[in-house]
Amino acid sequence: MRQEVAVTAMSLSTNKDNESVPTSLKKTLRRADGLTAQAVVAAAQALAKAPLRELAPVEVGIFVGTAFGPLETNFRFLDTLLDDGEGQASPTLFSHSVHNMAAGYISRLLDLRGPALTMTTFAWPFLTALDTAWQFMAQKKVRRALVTAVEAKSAVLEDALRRLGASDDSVSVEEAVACVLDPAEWAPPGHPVLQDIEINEVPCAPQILLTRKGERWASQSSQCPIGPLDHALAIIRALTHLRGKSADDILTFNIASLFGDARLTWCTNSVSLKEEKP
Amino acid sequence: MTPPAQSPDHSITKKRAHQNTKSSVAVTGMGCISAAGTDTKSHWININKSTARCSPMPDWLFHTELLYPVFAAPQEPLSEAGRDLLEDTLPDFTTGAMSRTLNLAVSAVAEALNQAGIGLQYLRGKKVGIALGTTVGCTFNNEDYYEQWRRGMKPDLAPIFHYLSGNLAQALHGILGTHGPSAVVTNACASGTDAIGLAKGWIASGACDLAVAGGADELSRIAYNGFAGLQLSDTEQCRPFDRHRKGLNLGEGAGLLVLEEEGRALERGIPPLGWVRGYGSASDAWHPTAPHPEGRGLKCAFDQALADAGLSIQDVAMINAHGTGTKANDLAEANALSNLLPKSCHVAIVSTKGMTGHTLGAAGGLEAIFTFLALRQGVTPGTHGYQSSDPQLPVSPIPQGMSVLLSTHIGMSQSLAFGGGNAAMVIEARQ
Repeated sequence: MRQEVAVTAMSLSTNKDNESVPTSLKKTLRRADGLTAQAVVAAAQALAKAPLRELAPVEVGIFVGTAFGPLETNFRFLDTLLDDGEGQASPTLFSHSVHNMAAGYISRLLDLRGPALTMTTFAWPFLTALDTAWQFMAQKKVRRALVTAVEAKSAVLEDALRRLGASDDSVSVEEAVACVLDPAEWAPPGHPVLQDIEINEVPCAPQILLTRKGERWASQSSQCPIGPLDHALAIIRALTHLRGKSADDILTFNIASLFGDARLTWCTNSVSLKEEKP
Repeated sequence: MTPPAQSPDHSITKKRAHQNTKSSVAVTGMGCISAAGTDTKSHWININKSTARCSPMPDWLFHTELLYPVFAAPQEPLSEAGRDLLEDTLPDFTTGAMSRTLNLAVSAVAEALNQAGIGLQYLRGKKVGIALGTTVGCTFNNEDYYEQWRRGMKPDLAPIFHYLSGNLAQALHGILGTHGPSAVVTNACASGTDAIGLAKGWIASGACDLAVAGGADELSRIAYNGFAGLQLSDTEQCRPFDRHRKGLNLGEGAGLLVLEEEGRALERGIPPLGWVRGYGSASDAWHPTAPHPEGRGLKCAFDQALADAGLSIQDVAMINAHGTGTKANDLAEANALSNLLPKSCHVAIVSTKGMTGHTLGAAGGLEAIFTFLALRQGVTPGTHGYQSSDPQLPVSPIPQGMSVLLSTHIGMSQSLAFGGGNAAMVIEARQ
């Protein structure tokens, strides 16, 4: 049985025009791409909403999940290589095309010095990062985990999606979602306490991992919507809206798709748990 | 001529027998491929002989006018063991249908499973975790497709499908016909070490019966030009920690371990090769590409790994350092090690990147294996490329041409990464 952990704060960043980047971060993020900027904003906002705790920087871990990572930055680097030639390609774009750059920025700008792991998977990047964070907490490697899922728009992938028959409103998203995991005893009433995560991937036709055709989610609760999911962040985006709205003791979210199935179960801590002294 | 192995003056360090700590997991198989060899045996021979295969970029990989040499794995990345595995699992396979990174990973996993005495039938009856680190292997690098697309053409979508099929952990699950936890860790150059640490946690928590973990990466024109642009590459063969070092050479390869709970291995009659005893990971929170000059995050990861193992630095006989050969990395790492190692404790420090180049996401996996190999033999060869000490570095590795007898069977392997990531693990070889 893993340690009980609660989601004590969540934040969604959809700063298409970088409007939501706080002034205090704008200068430091001037070289960052949209993916990194959004991840930092979502992470900073989630952390600001989390219960105040005196934690050493090394006690907080960062867990980033992404399906495609900074793909567009990779293409921009490739542009400089193709246009300007060998030896002239942009070093800044190259360094920002590395998948863990968002985690690195979060670590640096929020001064978090625990583990920072980036998990890349097409299926359920958020759930994979969440599961990894939970494991690290259970093994006492961190006391608090900041879990972030982030994607950026990619014109190359959008073109491929359209050619595969996807509708215009289901093309790639550009947003970040972050949540803070704390020991359950730190969580005020109404916050979800994780009970179980199950992820089972199966082989499928590769285009399904892009179109996500056939992916649906459901819950036993009448207060939770049932319906299709059309991008890698859809599940966690929906969860940010649901938090605290259910009267059910235990909620199980089932996701079914052609690339496997997943299940996330949480209970809502409706009573004030014993407060642990910081 | 290689001088005889020398017993270090610190050989009085007390030997500590393996204690099956809660978090310690057994290693029953290892597999690797790189420029230094096509399996663990050939790697060990070549590392001891200091025979490095560093060359200009082979045209069969890609053409370049740049003069930075590389450590390329064999042109045919699929070893005989890998080919046998694929013939058993995917009789209609073609190597071209899989990325070079995946071919390298298959070669390593085939050797590791063979050594662990694990056949496909056994494997498919178990819950198997696969955790792989990579950098190049997780992104879309098809230049032909991209060039056509940006000219407004509608290139065939096959390269996109190839990319979507290429998630290393899922692809290996598909090839092996296994099910269980799956993770591709993309922590830049620390990916392989973090992947092993993650899988160690899976085994310790019972999330899977056994795990395949490590890293794999191929040479790519994009990464080659990226490191050139960052001015981190050397036009000569790399010289880790050497006074005249000027940068790194890129390499490619794969290094994978089979991890399992010791009791399960013994039930099969397979004694462990050793144990991954501890893992730690921490961030510099300092700079996008440069390590913290004092190795702040590395020190923390190092301490965590030792604490996880229930050991102290006095128990450690050797450290396989990240040792890339760049000015900044080697200085930061030497500073961190200087602070971590008590004056009375002379741990043998080596870097093996002079033999493999910097294999990015594969480095942690390969170097964990090299650490195991040295610990099992009780002797470590020196650092290929390190010949003259740098007065600015507070610690010195074992130089090229020397070898050192190890005083215990416990060692560490550590990795530093872009983004400020650091990871370390404690390894013990069975006596």
